[in-house]
Amino acid sequence: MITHPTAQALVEGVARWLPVDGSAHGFALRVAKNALEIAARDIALGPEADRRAAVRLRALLGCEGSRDALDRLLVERLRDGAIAPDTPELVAHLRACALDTLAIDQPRYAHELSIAPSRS
Amino acid sequence: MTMTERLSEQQIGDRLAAIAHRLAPDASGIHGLERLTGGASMETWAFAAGDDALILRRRAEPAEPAASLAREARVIEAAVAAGVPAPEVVRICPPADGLGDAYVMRRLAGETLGRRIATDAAFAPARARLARQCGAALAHIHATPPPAGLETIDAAATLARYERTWRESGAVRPTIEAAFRWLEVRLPSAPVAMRLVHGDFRNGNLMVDPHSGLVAVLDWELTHIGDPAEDIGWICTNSWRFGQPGHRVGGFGNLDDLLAGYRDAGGEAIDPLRIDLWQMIGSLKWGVMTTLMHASFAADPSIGPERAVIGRRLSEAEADIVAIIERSARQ
Repeated sequence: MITHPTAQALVEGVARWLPVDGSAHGFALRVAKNALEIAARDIALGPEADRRAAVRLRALLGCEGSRDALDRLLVERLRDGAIAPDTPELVAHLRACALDTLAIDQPRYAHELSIAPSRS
Repeated sequence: MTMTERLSEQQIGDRLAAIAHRLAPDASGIHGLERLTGGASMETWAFAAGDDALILRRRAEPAEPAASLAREARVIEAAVAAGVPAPEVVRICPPADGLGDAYVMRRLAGETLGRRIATDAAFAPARARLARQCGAALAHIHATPPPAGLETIDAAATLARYERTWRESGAVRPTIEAAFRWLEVRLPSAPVAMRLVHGDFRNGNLMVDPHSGLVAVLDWELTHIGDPAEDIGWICTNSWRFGQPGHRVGGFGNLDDLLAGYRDAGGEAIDPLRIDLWQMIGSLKWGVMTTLMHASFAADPSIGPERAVIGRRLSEAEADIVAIIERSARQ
């Protein structure tokens, strides 16, 4: 799950800010629209992205758990050096995560990632 | 350190008028005063004295001594003397001017919007030469004798600073962790010759003419002593390519052209691996900055959703980080 911020925090942030007297305009309204669109994509795509990530993480780490728990474990493995940052299986997983997360957060961001998994 | 007061537009106009004769020959006053940027602490004003178009940069709140505008102005003066295209500093304001931490520079004409420079058809002639011109400008910056009082920051110190900030955020993102670990084993093992660096050399801080290309290098507030590869890696960071990832230099040019311009202007040879290293640090910096934006929203959600949305741009940095790891694994 993406927590920086969560979809709920995005929606609440808009609701809390949105002036009901019609005084909002221009840039601020576009930002609010963007926040709601991100939240909507997160609700639609997030659970499946988390499920896929958890499948990859179980294979990578050799243990069971939720995506959040396995993300924490992966961070520990990287910090203690058990998994090197350029391990091909890790890079393939991180590429898939990056593409899934961008599809939710910033689908129009122009990046250099290969879309098809590359043989490394 | 002078305490800088909050001044009204009228007060700024009056105080500039009082020094007009020192800003332009025969000027007895100023005209056309207009505020250009409304940052919380930095103010930029445009005005004219006689026939001279000028810019006032001043700080509305006291700054740390290390970030003083007078120091920034001395760096620009030194860089211009070394052949860097940058605005000529007309006056570093002493306390008696009553303008606080401030300086006056010449106003130049040109485009600074990164997206226009990278994509507008009118800028095609500029794009054909801009990477090479950036290389030459960087060679001159890196050959500038640094004025006294600048901080020295190398790759290891930069990394340590950002890792500390990241840890404090408490965020769990394996890609960011991988980036720190990837960088850790690639820090230069031999000492790097430290030079004056601009510190924010990127598309968006360059003033560009559609035909002749580079007019001036702007926004010197992050200048320091560091690894010259820092400036090259930063303009290569994908966050500053404005939707043109195929053009590694600022979305408008390629690295070979920049390095050719650098070499032809006398720049020292730079290991391409150090440019990769600094490009990775650049993406990581952007990623850490997005979490700081999110943190300020989380601390006070009533500020509105803008910083929350920026928090959701961490994924951009992550995609760029994975692309750099992939590329380096192929080499």
